[in-house]
Amino acid sequence: MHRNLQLYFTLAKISAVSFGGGYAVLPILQREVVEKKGWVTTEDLTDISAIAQCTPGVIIVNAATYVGAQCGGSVGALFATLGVLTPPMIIMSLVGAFLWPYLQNPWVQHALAGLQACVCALILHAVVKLFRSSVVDLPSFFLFSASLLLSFFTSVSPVILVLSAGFAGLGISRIKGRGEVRPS
Amino acid sequence: MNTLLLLGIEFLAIGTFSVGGGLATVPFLLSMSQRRGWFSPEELTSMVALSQSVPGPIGINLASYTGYTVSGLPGVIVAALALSLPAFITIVFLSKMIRKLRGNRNFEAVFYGLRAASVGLIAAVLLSFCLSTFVTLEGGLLIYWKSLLVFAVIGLCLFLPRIKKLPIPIFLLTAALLGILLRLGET
Repeated sequence: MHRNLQLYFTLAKISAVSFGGGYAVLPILQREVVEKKGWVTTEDLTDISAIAQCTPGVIIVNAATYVGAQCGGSVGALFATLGVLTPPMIIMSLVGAFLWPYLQNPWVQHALAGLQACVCALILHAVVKLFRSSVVDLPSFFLFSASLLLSFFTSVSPVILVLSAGFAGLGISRIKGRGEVRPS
Repeated sequence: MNTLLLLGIEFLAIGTFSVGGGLATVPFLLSMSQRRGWFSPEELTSMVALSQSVPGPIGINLASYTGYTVSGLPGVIVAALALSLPAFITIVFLSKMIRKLRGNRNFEAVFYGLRAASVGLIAAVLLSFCLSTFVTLEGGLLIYWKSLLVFAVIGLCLFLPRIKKLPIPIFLLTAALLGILLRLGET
């Protein structure tokens, strides 16, 4: 299949099976575009998740555009983004037209509660993986802990946290006085 | 002015100024409901719940559903595309820069910090998701053991060799079935 069509259908599939927010989609992206397709690396995914924190828009659109751009340029980015948009557009139109009354059904409520627990497990899995590739020494562990605590206990904007961490990274590399801060 | 055009402009603005994911669009939608009167704030609450309950990213679900509420199918298309356009342009532009900057010492140093902080932010989201899923403070501390059990089972499977290679929808489906079997929705 043509690369751009592959991008479209892969991202559509990812979008269709993701529950919850942009973070819930990270583990699925990791599985599909890093491990199966090899279009981007785990570091790429962490980068884009960091970029998505401080650029406008929905996280999955940022991620899809990035994956598409990395493997197919602007046209690839367009196909990937449209892929991610298609399932929600269809699903929400159907919901709007037909499904609304059934959502209060107790069986549906039980299933949704199960899905919520599953989403937590999926995000935990993603955090463990990203932690291994991104938190590589004491200073990065400090940045990790600081952003975790500040974002959980205060209402500091993620934009500020992410930007400060970027400057801190620059400072840390200066102090260390070596170029290789990234694990390879 | 044409409703579709207004809808498109509203969502272009949301796509430009909401930062940090799907739920970040909710405050903008609230102000939209107050200014335009297309739907009430109460309707918005159920729209958010609905968008979280069906497959798909919350932000796009919410925009699509808002579009449907305001003007049917054309509304869905306009709202979803307008919401995504600013992010699309930003990332296409940035991704070219990132390619050029790879290997640059300062760039790597900045991203060393960004990545660590980003994992911290995701871990914070995980904490608040877990709190809302497994614990309630209504009438004293109450732990939802059954939800925690489903979490433990799925979490364990995700780290087991071979089983962890299964497609994600299988995990979701298993969790939904477990939810029905254990009657998780009862609080």
